Amino acid sequence: MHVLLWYEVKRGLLRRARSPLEFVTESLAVYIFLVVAVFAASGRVALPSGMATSASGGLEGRPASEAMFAFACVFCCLGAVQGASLLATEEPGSAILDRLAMSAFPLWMIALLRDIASFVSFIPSMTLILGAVSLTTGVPFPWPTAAALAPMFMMRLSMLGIGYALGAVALLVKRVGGLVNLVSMAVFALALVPARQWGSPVGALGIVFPYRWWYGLAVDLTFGSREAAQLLTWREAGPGMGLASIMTLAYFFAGFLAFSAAFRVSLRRGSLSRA
Amino acid sequence: MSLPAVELDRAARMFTAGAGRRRRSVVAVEELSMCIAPGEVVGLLGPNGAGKSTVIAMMSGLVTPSSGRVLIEGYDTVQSRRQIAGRVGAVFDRARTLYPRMTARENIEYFTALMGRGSLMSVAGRAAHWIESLGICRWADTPVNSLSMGTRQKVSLAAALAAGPSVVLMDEPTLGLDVASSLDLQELIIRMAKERGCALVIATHQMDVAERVCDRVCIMSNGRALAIDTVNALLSVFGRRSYRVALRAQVTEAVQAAIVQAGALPSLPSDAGAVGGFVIDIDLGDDAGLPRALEAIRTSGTEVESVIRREPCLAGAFLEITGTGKGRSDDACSPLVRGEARAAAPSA
Repeated sequence: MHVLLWYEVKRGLLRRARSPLEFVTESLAVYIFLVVAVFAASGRVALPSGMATSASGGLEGRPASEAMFAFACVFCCLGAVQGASLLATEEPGSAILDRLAMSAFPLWMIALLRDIASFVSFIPSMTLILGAVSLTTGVPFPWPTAAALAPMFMMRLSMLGIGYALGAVALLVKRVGGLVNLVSMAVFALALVPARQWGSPVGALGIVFPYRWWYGLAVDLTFGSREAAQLLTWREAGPGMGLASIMTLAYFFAGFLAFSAAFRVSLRRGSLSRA
Repeated sequence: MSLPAVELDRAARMFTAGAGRRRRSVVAVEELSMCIAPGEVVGLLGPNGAGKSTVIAMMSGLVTPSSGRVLIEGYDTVQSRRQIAGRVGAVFDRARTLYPRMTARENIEYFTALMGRGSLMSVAGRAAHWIESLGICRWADTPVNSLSMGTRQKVSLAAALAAGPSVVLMDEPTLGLDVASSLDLQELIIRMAKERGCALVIATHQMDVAERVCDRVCIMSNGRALAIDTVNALLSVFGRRSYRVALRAQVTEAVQAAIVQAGALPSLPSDAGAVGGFVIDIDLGDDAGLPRALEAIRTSGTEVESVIRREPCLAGAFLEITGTGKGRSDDACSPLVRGEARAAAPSA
């Protein structure tokens, strides 16, 4: 398996290196988005009337660096959301999916290895982008603490479950671009809600997606004080963390089961690589 | 007795087509039984929609049989997917199984790794071996989208072979290739079977390719296997040896009657109009009947300009077996005759 992982990482890095224009334009798009988000969060976006926004509205009270952190988390999770469906609709018109399905590894495992590979290639590019955003806006990027990596991992795991579910739909109906965009937008919306605010309609999404709970914990551990860090102790955060863990694993396994079932159905229907 | 490389045991496949009230079942492959031995090359021949690709897909485990089963070295393609992975390599049409922006070497290494065979070093070693064996060293580090179709097809074959499969499935492997590339690939196919003992299954429309490389062919039409036998056996039953005779005058009823009298069977070519009515085909039971037939033509008062022997060919046998010939089976065997006959016809 490690051999395939190596080749998946290599394939992912080569894909970026061989399409420099695509890489640069994608990175620029993320950079521009993050700069605007950080400016908005710090009340520095000019309105057509000439007035500058105050630090109110959807981003109320959030430090600019937290906005940057929020969107970095979202971009980190988008790869997991989109990965399996990209695999299921890979190279339209080609028979590559057939070849993958004939491999010694189950398709869900290839999707998982590709997710790890995409995360590996995501880290250097996102570091570059965040560095550029910090230089442009003057807002330092808050590097997550070591303890915050655990909730960030759970965040991505839950999103991987959603990615598998989207991959299942893609295996069965192929054209799922709109659905994937919709879910990606929903994930984006999650970044707009302050970490501990659950009352708004957008915040309600947080109840559906376990992402939200883990994100709150990662924020606490990255920005919070000593007592926030103690949230990781079972007595303080146990019930919430337990529920979020159950939800995360439920999402992951539900998505995984849906993906595996859709693969079997597409073999029965003979529709695996049909566009 | 060794285990067959591939065994189809009454394998059938149905698809549903249409939607709502127009939804109906379509038989893609009727119950098909066949065993393929290691080192054997079997061709699946048939018109479009005959079911060839579905048979290939069932053998590769990409389509589940509706009934019956397909075994690869004794492993069921549905029950034992993990076991058949690595035992089956596939080359699908027009080399669409490669990542276009990766180089030939990267593709071969990636697809070898995908078969879960060996360490990093051995994957690279296997890829290098097949790059050399298939003579694609010059293009090894070129992105696949910059390669010719023939070279891509070789890369695709190398990617399939590097994992060391015992069965290689090829769907239209020579489609779109120039003559030299096609011949190269055909030689490779024969080598793979003879030297490495791979069982090869080739779905193709190209009769000349099948005739050259296949030990046995399965002729299919509308999902049914109409004939499964060696090429020679099919030719002896369905292929006809005939002669195309160009005359110095137009073919008359008297000439035809004389040929029948001599114990042969005359027929006008399907393009009789195009060759000015100066050409007639003669079917003979054996070669000894030819002098008698020619003598009969001369005694009917018509001079013979030229005689061309037409060997039985798989294309002719195919048209006969599938019933799609309608008198074209002779034309299928020697496409050059038309021009020669026209040249032989005297000017008015």
